Amino acid sequence: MIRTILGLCARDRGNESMYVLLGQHLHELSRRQTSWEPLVHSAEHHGLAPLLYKHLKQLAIGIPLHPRRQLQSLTLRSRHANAIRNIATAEIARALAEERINLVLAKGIALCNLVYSEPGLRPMRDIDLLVADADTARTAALLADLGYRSEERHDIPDDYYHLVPMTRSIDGMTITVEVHRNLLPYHRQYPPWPLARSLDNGWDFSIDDVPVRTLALEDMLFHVALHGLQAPLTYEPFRFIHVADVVSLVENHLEEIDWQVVQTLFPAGINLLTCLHWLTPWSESVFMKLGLEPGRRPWGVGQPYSGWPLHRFRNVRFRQVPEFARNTLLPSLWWLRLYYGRGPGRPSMRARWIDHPRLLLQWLKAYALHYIRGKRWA
Amino acid sequence: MQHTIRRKPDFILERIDDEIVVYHPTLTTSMYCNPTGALVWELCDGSLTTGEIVDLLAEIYPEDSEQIRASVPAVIDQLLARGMVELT
Repeated sequence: MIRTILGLCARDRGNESMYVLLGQHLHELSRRQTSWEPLVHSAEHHGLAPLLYKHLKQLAIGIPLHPRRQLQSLTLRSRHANAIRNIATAEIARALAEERINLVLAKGIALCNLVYSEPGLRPMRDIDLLVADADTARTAALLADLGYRSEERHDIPDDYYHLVPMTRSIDGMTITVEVHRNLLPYHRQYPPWPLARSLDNGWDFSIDDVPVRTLALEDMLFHVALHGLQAPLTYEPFRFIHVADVVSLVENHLEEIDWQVVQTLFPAGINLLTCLHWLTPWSESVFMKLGLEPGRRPWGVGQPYSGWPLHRFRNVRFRQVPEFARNTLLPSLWWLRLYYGRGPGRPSMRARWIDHPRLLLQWLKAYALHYIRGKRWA
Repeated sequence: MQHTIRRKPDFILERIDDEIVVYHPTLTTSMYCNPTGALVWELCDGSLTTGEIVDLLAEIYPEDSEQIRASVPAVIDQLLARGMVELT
């Protein structure tokens, strides 16, 4: 039930169907006298506490005192943290502009300002800056001038897709900045994404009156889906905030997004969006604009992948082996459709019997090669 | 000698919905207060002792002076216990 409630709240703006469902599930939560603590903790883990609080308030239900205060506290901290990150980002953007270093903001710092109705609704860990490979050293030097420091001891190789994170304390808060030479990790599942790909068609906005640029909306949609929902199996674990990013981007910028560009860039995008409907229903306007046809509800809605190689064999106890094998070989149909971008019916069978086994074989091959080459297991 | 009371840096007072909360942006410490508590927080600027804060508030709100004399030291004790203010 907790995952269902979080799924429903994974959006900036609610709609009638979503609030009806949310009300029903919250009623059930109260009827069963289930503790709110796990809901609050899960919301925090999934980066969704401010959104959960926003939607609970909207529904005007009585939240018990302790969880209400926990959610308020998480909301305030996120609001405060992002206000400071905005100040820091504006300062960095100004400094880079003075040195004529081209910059594209990515992930949380762009999403919280462009996609959400207030920046505090979208918690984040760091500020992601995408610059040209040739400018990474100058950018790091400028950040050092602004007081940012990087860990001297680290295991990040020189050719990694981002530099060693740099941190600085502002008003008692540690601000972490990642300078990227490529937006996504170098992996066969990801396209190369240097600055040049997004500089000329970027979306301009301002933070604290400083002009900044981020990805074009279509690129942003593609990126948040790849990064949050279709990442390589050992990468970013599923978190509901990534669902909220995609849903809020689509709902809040429906008319500005060029859907033909999305179709070209990301042919599986519509199928992915269809899967999200089962977590949090799309508004009528999205249905009409995109012509979504959800079909029958797939089983395992909201159950992400939990098999190998996300989890390692060595951590599995003997009696858990059957379940682990099932999670690996037969993950939920909802996740298969989401991850492989397949539609209902025969395409979803393709995801189960072709796409997924093929991907597992690729991972096996990659691990076997590592082993044969005498490297440590990743 | 009486110590003055000073807010610790980084703690913030904010209103959220109908409540007033003093919190730290990165720690889990927080404290909800009523409007009097919020005034006490604002007066903890390092220039006044507990007694002076009580006297000042009692002077501003004479009709509530009894309640102020009872509750304000308790609020300051709570702030001290949670590490939100310090004696100088």
